[in-house]
This record gives sequence, structure tokens and C-alpha cells, in this order.
Amino acid sequence: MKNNKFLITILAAALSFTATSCSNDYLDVNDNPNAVQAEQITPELMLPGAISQAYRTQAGTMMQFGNLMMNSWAGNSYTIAGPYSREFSLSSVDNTFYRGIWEGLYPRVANFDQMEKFTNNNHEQDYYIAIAKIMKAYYMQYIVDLYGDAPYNEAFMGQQNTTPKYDNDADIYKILISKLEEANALIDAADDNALEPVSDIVFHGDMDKWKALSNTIKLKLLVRMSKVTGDLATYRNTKLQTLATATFIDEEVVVNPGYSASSDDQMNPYILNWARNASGQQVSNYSVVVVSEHMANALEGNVILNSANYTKFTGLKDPRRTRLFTNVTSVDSNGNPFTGLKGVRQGNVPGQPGVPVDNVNTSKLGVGNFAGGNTPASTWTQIIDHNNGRGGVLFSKSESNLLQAEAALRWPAIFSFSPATKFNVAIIANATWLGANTTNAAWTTYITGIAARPGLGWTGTDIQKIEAIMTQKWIALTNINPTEMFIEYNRTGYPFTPMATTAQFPNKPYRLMYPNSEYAANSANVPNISSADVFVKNQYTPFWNQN
Amino acid sequence: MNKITTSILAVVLTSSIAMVNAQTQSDSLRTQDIREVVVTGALGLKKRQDAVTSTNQVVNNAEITQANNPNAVQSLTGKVSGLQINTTNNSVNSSTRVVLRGPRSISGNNQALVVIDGVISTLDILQNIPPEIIDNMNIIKGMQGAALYGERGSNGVIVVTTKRGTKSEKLQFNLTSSIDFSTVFKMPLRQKLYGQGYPGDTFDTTDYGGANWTPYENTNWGPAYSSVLGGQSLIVGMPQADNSWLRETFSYKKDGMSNFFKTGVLIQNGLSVTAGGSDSYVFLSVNRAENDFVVDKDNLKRNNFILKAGKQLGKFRIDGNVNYLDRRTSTTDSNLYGQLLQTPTNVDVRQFRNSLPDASYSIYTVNPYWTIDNDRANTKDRIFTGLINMEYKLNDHISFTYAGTAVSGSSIQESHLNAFAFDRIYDGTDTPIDGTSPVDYGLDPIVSNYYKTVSSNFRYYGDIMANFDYNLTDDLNFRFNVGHNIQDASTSTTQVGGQNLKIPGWYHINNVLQPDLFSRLDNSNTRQRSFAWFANIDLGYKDFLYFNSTFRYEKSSLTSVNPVTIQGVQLPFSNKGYPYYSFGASFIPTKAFESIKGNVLNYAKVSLNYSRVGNSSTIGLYGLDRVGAFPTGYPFGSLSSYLPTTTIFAQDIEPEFYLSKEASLQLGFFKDRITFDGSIFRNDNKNFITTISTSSASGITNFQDNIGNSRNKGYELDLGMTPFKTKDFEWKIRGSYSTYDTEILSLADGADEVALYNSTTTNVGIFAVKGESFPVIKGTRYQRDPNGNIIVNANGNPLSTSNFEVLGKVNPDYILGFSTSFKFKGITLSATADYRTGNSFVSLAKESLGSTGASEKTAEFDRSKGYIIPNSVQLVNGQYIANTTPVGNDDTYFGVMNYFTTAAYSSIGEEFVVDGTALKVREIALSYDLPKSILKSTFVNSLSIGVYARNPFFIYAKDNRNFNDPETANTTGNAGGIAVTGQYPSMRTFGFNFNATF
Repeated sequence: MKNNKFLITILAAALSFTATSCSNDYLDVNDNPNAVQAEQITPELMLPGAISQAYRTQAGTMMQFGNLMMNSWAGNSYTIAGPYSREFSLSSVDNTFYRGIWEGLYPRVANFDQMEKFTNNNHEQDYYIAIAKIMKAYYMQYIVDLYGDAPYNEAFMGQQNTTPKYDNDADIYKILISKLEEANALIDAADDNALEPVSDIVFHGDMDKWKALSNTIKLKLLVRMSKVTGDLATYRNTKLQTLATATFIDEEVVVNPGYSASSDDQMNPYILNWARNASGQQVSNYSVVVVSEHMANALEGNVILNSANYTKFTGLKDPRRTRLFTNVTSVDSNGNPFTGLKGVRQGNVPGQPGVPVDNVNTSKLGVGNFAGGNTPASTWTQIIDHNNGRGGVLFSKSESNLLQAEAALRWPAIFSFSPATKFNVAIIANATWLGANTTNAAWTTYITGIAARPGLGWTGTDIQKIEAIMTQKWIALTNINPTEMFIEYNRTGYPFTPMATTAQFPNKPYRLMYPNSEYAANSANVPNISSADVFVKNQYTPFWNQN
Repeated sequence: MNKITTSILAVVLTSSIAMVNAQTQSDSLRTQDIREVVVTGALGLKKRQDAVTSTNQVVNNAEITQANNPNAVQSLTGKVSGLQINTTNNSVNSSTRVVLRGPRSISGNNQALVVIDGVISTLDILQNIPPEIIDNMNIIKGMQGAALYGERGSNGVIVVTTKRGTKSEKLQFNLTSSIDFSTVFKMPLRQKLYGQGYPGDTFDTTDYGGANWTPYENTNWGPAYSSVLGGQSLIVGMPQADNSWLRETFSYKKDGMSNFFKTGVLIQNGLSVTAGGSDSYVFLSVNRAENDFVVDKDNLKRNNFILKAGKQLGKFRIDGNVNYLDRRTSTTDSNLYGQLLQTPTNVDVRQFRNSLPDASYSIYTVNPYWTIDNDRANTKDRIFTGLINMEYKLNDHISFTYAGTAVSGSSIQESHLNAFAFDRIYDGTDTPIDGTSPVDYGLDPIVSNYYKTVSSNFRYYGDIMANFDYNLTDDLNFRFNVGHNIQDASTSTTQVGGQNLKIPGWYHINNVLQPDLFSRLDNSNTRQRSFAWFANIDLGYKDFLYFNSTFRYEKSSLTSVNPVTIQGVQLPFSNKGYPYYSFGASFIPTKAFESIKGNVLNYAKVSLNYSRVGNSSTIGLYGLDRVGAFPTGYPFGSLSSYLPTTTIFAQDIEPEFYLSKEASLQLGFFKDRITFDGSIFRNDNKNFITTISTSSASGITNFQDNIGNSRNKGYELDLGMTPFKTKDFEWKIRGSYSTYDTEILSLADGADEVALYNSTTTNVGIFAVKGESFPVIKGTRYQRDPNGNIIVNANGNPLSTSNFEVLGKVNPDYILGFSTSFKFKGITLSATADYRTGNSFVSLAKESLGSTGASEKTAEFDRSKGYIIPNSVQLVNGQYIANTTPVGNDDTYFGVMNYFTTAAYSSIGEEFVVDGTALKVREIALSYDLPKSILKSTFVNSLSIGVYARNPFFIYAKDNRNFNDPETANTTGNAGGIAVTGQYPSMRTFGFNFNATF
């Protein structure tokens, strides 16, 4: 019977294990121990990540897209086969072309929406909600400006609605403007219970600055509507009136969660994408990206091409040029070498015009983009530290001032400030950010020079002044927020921007195709547009640009 | 009619004619009559083959080991109808995908369950068991046979029984030894007309038929071999460290690429010792395998120790099994194959075996020889398995059994990559590269890194069962099993590592200057549990009518929800249990009606079954728990941030249910000289679970729920013949035809398709599409006129469809399996082959070869005159007219290069979909058993020697220019069908073996 005892012991043990295993406690092991529970994520925790993650899209995909579309960058075809051929030929502006903009921005806009809808007992979250509304409007505008109609009212609902309907782009604009007004109202209310936004990585809790940024974004939305007519024009004018005495942002709005060189992930994505990694080593984009022949010629005072298209630049060298791109041995239109910018003509390869085989030098991204005027900046370690220290530009002072200049020029009855002053402030702000010397003779020569050149400085007709604003905006947004400039170019047609030599369309696309994720996952709602549709003005063009 | 049949059946079941008990047990498969075989089924329940009510096929040791495949799973390929084994990735430790009768689940696991000696195990463990210790594998294809395993058994089961003691009390030794040699074969075919270079390159501005010659290009867009450069000795690659150049004749090098691979050597040695008899035995096996792969320095060393013992003590029996597996692998990064594919056709890569990356055959690729030395991952796995089977027989009718296993595994993986700065400045070469540096050519510096991952896992599985066996009447046998199952699995993983090693060659976390944030690394704990109640009923009427039913009620922690609202309110815990059940019956007319049985038809069996099982594996571990994740880089110092994850599971998700029906027929003619097995099946998957990628605008990117229905159906036919059978000579042939198709019947509202995988290289992906076979390859297609000609635009470039269209199916229409064996006295010759057709795959190697100008397609015309897409048309005034415009409207070499190197060529998905048809001879083996008469006077009992070949011949479809083996896939999951460039080509193996017992 010895065996029996043994068996009974085992059976008893097994059965007792069985008994405990049948309770729910046994199965209550499905809470993920490896991650934070969703209900523990407060707006305070969500805010910095949502902002810095959205900026990654702005500093990456959108930086490349804008600079290539604006013919500011070219690919170094001396050493790389067929760089950016898709952007230059425009032969496949399809549902995979820069889909990262849509797919990068939308989930972040959803995060801002989640913050906006967060339980707000006793107005605790007022300031976070205000910031969320402002950031939401800022990035959502890019969705509309690049895609036209887009999901909004049914968007951001997570699993409750995975196939949101598309809303009219003009309606989304109106909602965004109301979001900005709501944000200002929350800030103005300054509720005593409102938590200080300690995790604000932009203005560090300075709500007055958020309000100024809110006003500036609102102005940007309204200026974008400069060409609309009828009811929309009435709406625009009414809303512009509300900004008549508003304060606009007058500083570089930067994102900085505490960038450092301790790892690639903690680097400012701007320098990480385009120049150096956390170990100080060159990343491949740095050798691929060179200044375009077009931009080099414009900044070098038309000495490279000596073309009639660039007459307004002739003989006037832009002091910002060597801050934007590196100096090399270039060749002027007479074949004489000079030290300055040397670019590549978009679309051409060595041996073809603009890419001579007897001068293989190219100007790369300049130190000014990364370090500004900070010194010392002689080694990349120092430059990386400066770039991490100053953060990434969300919205530049220059853009704000040029925007105000245009508003005051177009609607002098509403805005009483001087557009010329704003225009000049913008140029100086940009030069300062890039670290150009704004006190020396070269600077004075440039400033006094442009003042007499229609289309480049503040002179001539209103149309020429618009051209001047756009030309200066082009230079000021190059390497900073060029996608904004591309949208402005589509709105105004300025500045003169040549197509790549391999372009298969006479003009740039007026919008992007919806990404293939929409066709795969939201096929019932996404408008079915073709690649050809994006090159002509039609009902799919963003509403402010349909005429 | 129905009623009458039922009542007859009822009468039959209750009648009581005297008969011997049909369910006599026997432990051995080596019974003379194949029909009397006792097979081990689910939960270790043994039945005579006649009593099995769903389809199965038993593969015995001789068939498994015939060609000495070290991987017991791979050795089943071609031998079992309905079992599809794909070697998805060739490596020193190749991965396989094992699916019975096609996929049922879209997102969940479709691979067959592996059960070893009565308890659930894993495919990985089975692949590492020395095949010679496997007694047999019972492949249960019919779902009903696996229904007792509930959720885990929803994809069929491979029941592995390892060898036990022999009947003799004598100590017996068995020595096996084999060595074989592998070489790569079926390397991609390349064009033989053009060499290194690039139109418009500045290294040498001489024009050779529209192109320039460049010694360091990774592309073949250079001069033709028929140009004046052809046959000349030219410098090649980048200058070596001493600024000297290597030279190469400018001509096509046939083995220029394949020379990279060496001959792999696999040595397997095993010794087993058995002793004991029927009431007690001991078995010890020691096995070592050393695999030296075709890629230098990649190797595997595997030691396996198995100790088994059993003892009968009166009414109590205990069997135990301890297995210790120790496996070490060292591999480099297989992405080096993608670099190797960029070897220009005039280069013999072996010349560069000692060159640094800045002195390689191309400045645009990293020298794969450098990768071998500097990019390595070493893994050490130790798996300890303890298994126990106990039985207590209360009396003749009642017994209690317990089967349990505990598996404890640990894995240590260390990987490192050495730095390479690419900061050399070329100088003194008197060429245009002087003064340049590799970084100027767009190379990213290689940053060193080191990672170490330590993981441990523990898994417990236990069945406790009460078994009842009664003869209700003299004719009616009743067996009933009831039991309870517990499963508990946990893992823990810790990883450290980061970039930038201070001291080169010292691989330790203390030497890492920029450690990765913990949030970027894998530091996790997991736990998963389930329990179930189950019951099994077997009824046997005489020896010709059998009925089986199973029931299982299962609860899994995967569906546990512990909800907390976003406001932090705790809601009640919930966990739902699910019942699974099955019924089956078999009938043997040749035993029921003696009159039918004759010389022609000696055996017939029909069986029918139905089952309803679920699969919860599709629900991800912790999937129902809503969590947040760190955005990139966080935490920054004391600033932290989390964003809610964008993949969401429906909180009320249920397992997917498979309703399965199967009918089968087995016939034996002429004393089983001809056998026929046929079975037909249908599995309806109700409410399958899948992840639908959602509109990014919803704020989530993926959403998982029960969203659709699918149906998987098919049939298998097996024909066996023994045309000759004499005392000295026997010839057996076995052929099988199996086919299945999985169709997506419905998907969620508003969705017509679900993307499982999207390629980033070209416009193609793997999809589940409503109304189509699953899975399908979808992608952009060339626009074609009604005659099927490619339509080009005014610039001569092909137009592509803007939307994805179905381009092919991933699974074959059918598989033909063929095996044969000849036995003449002691000589045995056996062969296995299979043929698959109707399937397609995406080859990214084809894209790489095309864009580098290496594929044959790029040289089927005179490049200097531009490339007119063959048979293309243009739409002019509403009419399709023959196109005469070269691509890019450029009739120069530059135009050709520009076409193939840009999106115009690479973005059209259809271009890279390749017919997956393949005829593969999997195994040929010849062995010779020394006659007993010779061995009589020695201590040796038996001795056999053999030669064998694995994969000696493959024949691919015509349009597969050896781009990839069609089985290659970048995943063993459901999104197969895409072969990426980092996957090695196939290997063929020849070897010989030696086997002795004494």
C-alpha cells in the first residue's frame, strides 16, 4: 500500500492545484507589467511626447519635401546615383509619395485631441487643454493645406470609429479657428485651480506666449484664405478683425524636451536627420543633400547663371548664404572660380548642364543651420551641443513677422502696424537665427541693396511687395520649415521656382495624394483621386487655392 | 431515409453479439499488419488505427532518418499529404513554417501543435531533438483528432513519440554517425554583357557606348564587355590600404558572387543505450551535431542528452524523461546577402576577402567579408525539460493518470558590431578619387554596438485524468476519460547594450559609451495561464464501428479583462470560458460484412467527424490591456512622457471558432499491395480575428477584433503501391495529391481587405481580401490594353494602376508528393520529391538585380539605343498603337539606366511577383545493411552505411531566374510570400552515414 500513499499525496497535491486554478485569481495575470497603464497617462505626461514626436515629422519628412519642392536642395548626383529622382520627375506622386506627413501628423493631432477631451475637474487641466487646442490647430492646418478634405469631426475616436468620414476643408479651417479662440478664452480665464503646465517643452508654462502663438496661427489660417471669395471672404474679414489689436509671437518658437548627444534618440532630430549622429559621425543625408543650382545662384547674386530670371538678385550677395550652405570653390557664369556656393541643377547628372564634370564641388548644409551664432562651433561635437541646446524650430520669428507684413499689406484697414517694419524685422530675425553678422558692411550693403529692388525688398507695387515677402520667406524658411513655404508658393505663385530638368509636369503638385493606408483602411470614405488630379486645380485642390 | 438510417445505427449500437474486445492495446508500431497498429493520439490516448475517427498519418523512424536531416520537421517534407513545410529562411539554424491543410486564421497562429510524449511542446524543441531517437510521429490532420487540446489543437497536432526500451533485458548500444557537405545552388542568374560603371560618371569620362566605366560602382550600368574595355585588365573596387588597386579582367565572372559561399559541413554523432524489459527500462541518448554553415564562421553546436526510464510497480506505473538541450549558434547578419547581390558581374568577390569596407569592390556596399568578421550574434540556449507520466490502475476498469511537464529554458544572446568610420581620405592614386573620402559617396559611418539579452522561460503543463474502460455488453466497449488541464507559462527578458564601444574588440556593457535607454530595449516579463476541464468518450461496437466524442471547457488569461476607465474607476474583472467539442465515427465494412472482404478489396474504412474548436492565440498577450509607450527619446532627464499605444484590441474579443467537418475513406486492395486514402474537409472560421490597419485619422493605426468569416476546404488523396514484393526485393511507391483553399468570406463593414504586410521597397503587400484566396499578394500592376500589352505614356514609361490589385496567391493550388523505396536484400534506395504550383512570391532580389543592371532583363536589348518596353502600346486618339518611344523618351544608355534605377521600374509591384512553381527532389538515400551472417561472429548486432542527398535537384518556374527559393519568406507567420534580399539561397547537401547497434 506504500504506492497508494504516494499516489494519494500526488493526487491531493494535483487536485488542490486544480481547485485554486479554477478561480479567477489564477487567470488575473493579464495586466501588462511592462508598460504604463493607459489610465495613468495624464495630459502632463502626454504633452511633451506629442509635441516632440510631431516635430520629428516636421524636421524629417517635411523638411525634405519642402526643400526639394522649393528647389532649394538638390541631390549630390556626383556621388549618388539618381538622388531624389522621384521628387524631381514627379512621375509618381502617388499614394506612397510623402505619405509619412499624413501618417506622422494625424496620430499626434489625435494625442492633442485626447488631451483636449481629458476629464477636467475644477478646471485643473485648463492650461493643458488650451495648449492642446493650439497645437492641434497648428498641425491640422498642414493636413488640410496638403490634402484638402480630411477627416476631422469623426476623427480621433480610436476604436469607436476606425473609418472616419471626410469633412470639407473649409469647415475644418473654421473649426481650427474656433479651437484657437477657445484656447485663448481658457488662458484668459486663468482659473485658480488650473495646474501649471510643468511639462510644456515650448514656452515652459508661459501662457501669454501660448496666446500670442495662438493668435499667430489664427492669422496664418486667415492669410492662407487670401484668395477666397463670397461667404468665406466675409468670414475671413470678420475673423481678421478680431486680431486687429492682438499680440503675435515675436520670438523663435522652439521645441526642446532636453535634447542631448547621449543617444541618437535623444538628439535634436533636426541635426540627427541632416548632419551628424550622437557619436558625431556624418549621416548619409549630409552628403546627399546639396544646395540647388537655383538657390545657389539666387543667394550668390546671379553670378552663377547670369540669367534674366534672377535679375532682382544680380550683384547682391545674400549674407545668409554661407550660414545656410557651405562655401566651396564655385565657378561663375564666365568660368571664373570664386569662393561661394556651388549647387547641382535639380534632375541633372554629371556632364549635363549645371553639373559640370570639371568642378565636382558641392555646398552642403552650413553650420549656421545647426549652431546659429553660437560659438565656438569649429568641431561637430560643439555644433551638435549647440543644436541640441537651442532645440528645433516649431515656428520662426521670421515667419511670424512676414505673415504680419502680408496681413498689414493686404488689409491695412484692419492692421495698423507698418508692414515694412515687420518685413525688415523678419529678415534680421532669420539672419540672427542662422548666425549671420547683422552689423557688418556686407549686411548693410544687402539691406540697402534690396530696398531698391522690387520683388526682393520693400519697394514697388503691392504685388511686388507680395513677391518680396514670398522671396524673403523662401530664404527664411529654407532649412527651417520649407513645407510651409511650398504651401505659400502654391498660394501666391512666388517666388520664381524652376522645375527640375526631369520634371514630367509643368508645375508642382497642388496637393498630395491621400496615403495608401487610407485607401486600404478607409476606402469607403477617402476621395478617389488620381495622380494626375494633383497637378491641376480642381475640386480636390485645397479650398483656398481653387481659383 | 434519414430516420431509417438512424434507427439502424441505433440497433447496431445496442445489439449484443459476442466478439472479442476490439481495443486491445499494443505498444509497438512494428506489428506486421499495418491495420493493427496502435497509434498515440491526443493526450497520449492510444487507439487502434481502426478506432481513429479523423485523418492521421504515422511516419516512422526509418522514413524520418532516411536522409539524415538534422531537423526532424524538415524531414517530413513531401511525406505527409496535407502537411506543408516551408523552409522560410536558410541559416545555420533554419526556420520552418509547418501548416496542416492550409491557414485558417488570418492573424493568429496556423502552425501545427507539437506534442512530445503526451505533453505539449514546441516546434523549436522538436527541431532540435535528434531525429534518431524519435520512434514515430503521428500527424493528426483531422481537426477532430486534435479537439481535445482545445485552443491549442486548432491547427492539427504532430504527436511525437520518442523511443523507449526494448523488450530484451540486454544492454543495447546504438551508434549513429553522419557527415554531409552543403553548397549553395540556384544563385540568381545574371546578365553577361555589361560591367561596372554608370553613364555620366566622372571617374573616367571616356564614353563607351553611352556609359562610363567606374571601378567602384555597385551597378552594371557601365560599358559592354564587347566594347574596347572588354577583356582588358582593369583596376577594380577602391584602392587597398596601401593605395594599390586590385585588377580584374573586364569580363563576366560566372561564379563571381557564389564564390563567397564555402562548403558547409554538418557532422552528427549519437550514441544511445537501452536496457530493460516491459516493466522497467532505461534509455540514454547522447547526441552532438556540429553544423558549419556555407557562410564562413556561422556555426551551430548542439548537444542533446535524453534520459528516459520507466518502472511498473504493481498497479502503479511511472515513466520519466529528462532532456537537456544545449545549443550554441554564431551567426553574422544575413543582410550581407543583400550586399553580395550588388557584386558587379565583372567582379570576383573573393578577391576582396581581405579588403576593408573602404577598399571593397564597390564604395556603395559594405564588404560582406567585413560583415562576417565584424557583425556577429552569438546565442547560447539551454533547455531543460522534465516530463513525467504516471498511471495508477485501481482495477481493470478504472485508472488514474497524470502527465506533466516542466520546461525551463534560458537563452543568452550577445551581439556586436564593430565600428568603421569611413574617414579615410584617398590619396596618391592619381585618379579623380584623390582627396575624397568614403563618406562623400553617401556612406553612413558604421557605429559600433553591443547588446546582450538574457532571457529565461518556464512552462508548466499538466493533465490529470481519470479513465474508465467498461464492456457495457459483450460487443460494446465504453471508454471514458475525464480530466483537468493546467498551463502556466512565464518569461523574463533583460537586455542591455548600446552604441559606441570605447575599446575596440571588448564586448561588454562596461565598454559602451552610449548605452541605450532601457525603454528602447527589451526588458519584459510575461505570464500566460489557462485551465480546462475535458472529457473523452470512445464507444466501440465489435471491431468495426467506433464512435468518439470530446468536450473541453477552457478559460485563458488572454481574455481576462481588468478594466479601469480613463477616470481611474475600477470595473469588474471578467473572463469568459469557452466550450469546444467534437464527434466522430468510423466504420470498417470489411470487418462488419465478411462477404465484402476478398482478394481484391481486403480493407475498407470510412470515417466522419465534426468539431468546434477555438483559437485564442490570435489575441496577443496583454493585448486587451490598454497601455502607453514612451515617445522617442523619453525620458529626457526627469521629463517623462507616455503616449497611448496605437494598436488596440476590442475589449469583448472572443477566440475565433473553427467549425470543422471531415470525411475520409481508406481502402486496401490485394492484401494492401495497393492502398488508397482519401479525405475531404471543410473548416469554417467564424469571427476570425485580425488586425485591421485603420485610418491614421482615427488616432490609432491598428485595431484588432473578430471581424469576418473565412472558409478553408480541400481534400487529400494518397495512393500507395507495392509493385514488387519478394523475400529479397521490395519496391514501394507512394504518391499524394493535396489541395486546399482558404477563402475570405466576409470582413468588417467598410473593409474589403486587410493588409498583413506592406513592402517598403515596392508597391506590393500581403493581404486578406474578401472573396479571394488567403493570403494574396496585392500590388500595383502595369496598365495593359485589352491584348495584355503594357501601356506606356508619351515618355515611354509604363503606366501603373494607382490602386493595388491581386497579383497572385501565396499558397499553392495543390501539392504533389512522391516517395519511393527499393529494397534489395540489405540495400535500400529511397527518394522523396514534391511539386507545388499555383503559388507566387515577391522577390526583392529581383528588384535589387534590376536596379543594379545585373538582371538578365536589363541586357536583352542594346542599352546604347534606349529601352523600348517590349510589346508596349501608347494610347493615341483613343487607339492603342505600338509604342516606339524608349523609356523616359530618352534613346540613350542614360535613359535605360535612369528607368531601371528609379521608381519608374521599382514602384510597379507586378514586376517583382514571381511564379512559385517548383519541383523539388527533397531526399535521395541509399543505404546498405550488412547481412547478419557477416556480423554473427562479432559483437555488432547490425550495421548499416549509407549515402544520401538532400535537395539534390530543384526545378523552378521559367520566370523564376533563381531569384529566390519560392519557400523563402521573411516571416514564419501568415504574411509569407515575400522574400527579402537578406535571405540566403537554397543549399544542396550530400553526405554519408553509419549506423551500428551492438
